[in-house]
This record gives sequence, C-alpha cells and structure tokens, in this order.
Amino acid sequence: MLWLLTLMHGAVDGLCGAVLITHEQPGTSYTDILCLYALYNLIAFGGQWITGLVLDLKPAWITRSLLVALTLLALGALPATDVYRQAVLLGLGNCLFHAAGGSLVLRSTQRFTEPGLFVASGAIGLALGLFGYLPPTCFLLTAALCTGGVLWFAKPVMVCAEPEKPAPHSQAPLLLCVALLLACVILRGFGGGGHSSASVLLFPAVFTLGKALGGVCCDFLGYNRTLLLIFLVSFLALQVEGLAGSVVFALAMNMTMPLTLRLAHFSFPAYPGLIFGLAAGCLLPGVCFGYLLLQPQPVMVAVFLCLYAAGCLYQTYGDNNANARTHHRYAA
Amino acid sequence: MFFLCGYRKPRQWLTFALINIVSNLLLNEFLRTQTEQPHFRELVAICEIAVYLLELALAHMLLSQNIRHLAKTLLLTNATSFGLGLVLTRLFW
Repeated sequence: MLWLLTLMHGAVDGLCGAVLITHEQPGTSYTDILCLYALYNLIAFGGQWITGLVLDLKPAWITRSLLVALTLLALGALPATDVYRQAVLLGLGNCLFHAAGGSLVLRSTQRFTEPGLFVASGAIGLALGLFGYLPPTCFLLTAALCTGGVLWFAKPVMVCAEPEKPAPHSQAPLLLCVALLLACVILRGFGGGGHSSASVLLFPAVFTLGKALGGVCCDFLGYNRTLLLIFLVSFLALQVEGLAGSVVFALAMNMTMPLTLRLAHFSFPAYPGLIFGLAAGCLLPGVCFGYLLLQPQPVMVAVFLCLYAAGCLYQTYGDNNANARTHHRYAA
Repeated sequence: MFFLCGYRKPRQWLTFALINIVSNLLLNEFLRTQTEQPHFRELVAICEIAVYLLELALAHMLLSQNIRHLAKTLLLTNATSFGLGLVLTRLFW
C-alpha cells in the first residue's frame, strides 16, 4: 500500500502542477498567475492541518476521503472557464489527499523509512507536471489506479487505527518538541538548498533522494547517528563551491524531513493527520517567501540544534511504550 | 582548560578539537559575508551563543558525557578563548 500511496503522491502533485502551468500563457497577467498560485498553495498547504485533525477524530473517513480527493482533482483538471474555481478544486483535492495519505502512512508503521518514501515522490511529481514532461491525463489516470489499489488494500488497516488516549502527564515538553520540529521545517524552506541548474529535474530528484535516504538511514543508524551524519554531510557540502556543493547540501537538508515528521508523530501518536498537516503548513512560508533566502550556515546550525533538542525532549518526556518500541533508533 | 576540567583522554581532546574546527569554520564562513551589517557586534554575540550550543550538542552526542558538566566546561573554554582573542586583538591589531 505504501508504494501505491507514494506513486499517488507524485501523481497528485504532478497533476496539480501540470494543470496550473497551463494558465501561464503570454496573454495572462502576472498578478492573475500570482493570485492563482497563492490561492492554490494556501488551500493545499494551509488546509491540511484541519483536514488531518478531522480525519484523526474520524479515522473511518480516511480511505473514503481519498476517493473524494480524486473526484475533486478530476473536476479541477477539467478545462474550466473560471481559473480560480479550478485552483480551489485542485487545492482542496491536494489537501485532502495529503492529509489522508500522510495519516495512513504514519499509522501503518513505526519506522522512518515509510514517511520518507511517501513525501519523497511529491517533489519529482511536481517537477514532471510543472515542466510538462507528462500530460495531466497521465497523472490523473495514475492517481485513479492508485486510489483503487489503496481502497482495496487499506480496509484492514482502519480497524485498528483508532486514536489513542492522551498520556496523563504534562504535554508541554512534547508540544515544545513538536514546535522545534516544525521550526525546523520552516527554516529548511528558507535555506534548504537550491541552485540554478541547466537540468530542471536535478534538484527535484535530489529532494526526492534526500527525503527517501533520510528515513532509510534513520532506521539503520538511529536518530542521533543520522543527525550527526546529516550535519557532517552538510558541513562538508558547504566547503565545496558551485553546483556540486549545493546538490549535496540540498540532499543533506532534505534528509531531515522524515526525522521531523516521524518524531513529531511519536510525540502525539493519536494525531498523525494533524501532525502531517502542520508539517505541510510549515512549508507554506518557504513556498510564499522562498526568495528571502538565508545563509546556509545559520540554517544548518539552527536545523541541527532544533532536531537535537527535539530528540532530547522526546527521549526524556516521550511515551514510554513508544520509547521502548524505538529504543534502538535513539542510541547515540 | 579541558585537562583542568577533567577531560584527560586523547580521544576526548581529539573530539573537542574537531568540534572546534567545525564550529569555527562555520562561524567565520558566515561572518565573512556579514561584514557590512550595521549591527555586526550584536550579530557576533548571537553567533557565539549559537556556536556554544552547537559545540555542546555535538560534544554531548559524540562523548556521551554528563551534559551539565559539558555545558560548564564549554562555557569556560569558550569564554576564555573569546576573552583571550579580544586581548590579543587589542595588543597586536
């Protein structure tokens, strides 16, 4: 099911990119295009946390909402006269898919690899759509086939996916842990790497690889060792000038994504949808104000410190059962 | 300073040395691009705090020592090197 959701993630993001890019034509004003993208991003990224919260409270709706998401996306992909209606439909479909898919993936395992793989496909799918490598129909067909597959396989998962009761002790340290992890996502949006390159697919491919690699490394090496590895790789990347350094730095920064996502979920295991949605919402400042790029050194240090502090807080105040479950992943 | 604070194994010195090289390179690479900043001194102070926290986190992860003792040691060593740096700058700059 993970592979279907991962493929569907790429297809959904690709579809939205492929449809929205059709409005970027010589006759269209810059303000209209800006408003269109702003509206779409606001709904797609900003609405995920509330959608995720609703799905956490009503887990039986998760698989059904994938079908609703597909319908909204299909309606949004139809050639429409009103471009804003199209942006709203695509935004809603994208938002619903991410909240439901993210929730399903986080619920399905306790490992870091799965959320890493799931989020990885979005960047490459979006790039394939935005740069016109594949038509919208192709993305829609893939998304429809994947939805069918997920609906087929996901049924048994839902039976044991009720939200857990909150822990009796104070939640403040865990809230701080989640806040640090979300800060890490915001920071990465402003300095997570990127460079002008002749190949438009280079950086999306690097983002994809980084996210997937981060999860796999964390499952093999443990949280602390992966964090050290990310720090070391990004430090070495900063010593190399030009495209090669930027590529390695972007790879290292993207490796933090599954760590932030899974640790935030471990902190509040009853709310996977809300956590996934909040993390997605934190990408919004970077999407809207990405031109305000920060220097890589402070970003790298701040990201490392946030992840380290969040790891310490989780180890000290996290759920005992979850600690036992993931004990080997936190060994220094 | 590390010897006086109880860190007397060569492996520990090597770790502290590597951490210092990394943190100083990062600090200077960043400050090199900020020389035109109107609040350069305040920026240096903030960066020193960040470097201290970074060194503490790295030392804690690599040495697995008591974090309170590490925090005191690193505060002492950083304050000494910062103070010594200021004195030397005044004397020879």
